[in-house]
Amino acid sequence: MQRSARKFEEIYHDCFPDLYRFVLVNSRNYADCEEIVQEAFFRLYLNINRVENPRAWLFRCANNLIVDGFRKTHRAAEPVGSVADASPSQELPVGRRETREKLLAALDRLSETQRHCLTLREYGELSYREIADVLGLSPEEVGVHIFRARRRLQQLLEEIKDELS
Amino acid sequence: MSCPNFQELSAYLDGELPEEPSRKVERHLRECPGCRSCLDDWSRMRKRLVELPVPGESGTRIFMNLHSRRPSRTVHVPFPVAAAGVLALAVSLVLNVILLVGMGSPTEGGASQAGQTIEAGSAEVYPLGASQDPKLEELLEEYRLRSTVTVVVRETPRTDLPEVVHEDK
Repeated sequence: MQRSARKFEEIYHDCFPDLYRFVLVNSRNYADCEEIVQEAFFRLYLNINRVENPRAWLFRCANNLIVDGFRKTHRAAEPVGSVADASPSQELPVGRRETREKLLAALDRLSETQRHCLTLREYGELSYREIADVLGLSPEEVGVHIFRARRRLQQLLEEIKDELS
Repeated sequence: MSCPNFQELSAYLDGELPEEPSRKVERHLRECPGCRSCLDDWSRMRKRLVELPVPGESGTRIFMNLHSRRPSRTVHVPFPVAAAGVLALAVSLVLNVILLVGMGSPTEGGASQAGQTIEAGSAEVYPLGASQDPKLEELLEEYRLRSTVTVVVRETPRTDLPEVVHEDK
């Protein structure tokens, strides 16, 4: 029991920042983000001894929660920029907060599939095969979505290059 | 070698190219500043993404919430052991019931009941020292051997003194 708790804590410290980023970018809502991250970790805790790759498992679980959340509520996600003031991180310096909001706004302009593929790769460090399993695509399709997402995001960031610190 | 397409470069960055094509891209990158620049841009973008600030208080809050949500400790017992335990419990219950029925109802035995008449000094019915009530014990002792007492024990509250009706022989 104690060993499981320790293992869970290690995974939490290792995965929390990236999982939070992944969920924030894709849920586009700070309140939903915390709930989804918490739920994913809670489900991992319940299955801690049965999961082979906790990182991949967490990202898959969080991705499903995001998709289910949207399906259940049938609401269009609010762009993160519009709820920036509700962000819990008032501790951040204004400059960094603005940079983050601009980056999130740029990511928001990618298609949903491109965004999910790119963020599962960059934050979850999932292989194309694993991403394909999560999203129900082929690995080749995942590769295409990722490279298109990179190219598009690069253009978008180029446009706001001077505004980014 | 001509420049690889963007998709190949992207897959190379992710370590998703097979060994041979990956080596080709690597060789090409040594000679092509344009492709190197493209990869550098994507690497910078990756760095920017993974440095997206995460509020520290969210991490603590979620962890504390998780701590309070953790289910209580459960012990997983293999099915044969659990089945044997349940069987033993059932047998024990049945034996207890049989034993109790064999001894008769409690009112016939030694347990005191409200309104029950008992004979002072009779160890079988109400052994001295068994009531754990010093005042009651004192009364019983006083009338022991020379009189019959009717002890009315009120069910509640327990601290009440019993009413003692003295009947001279």
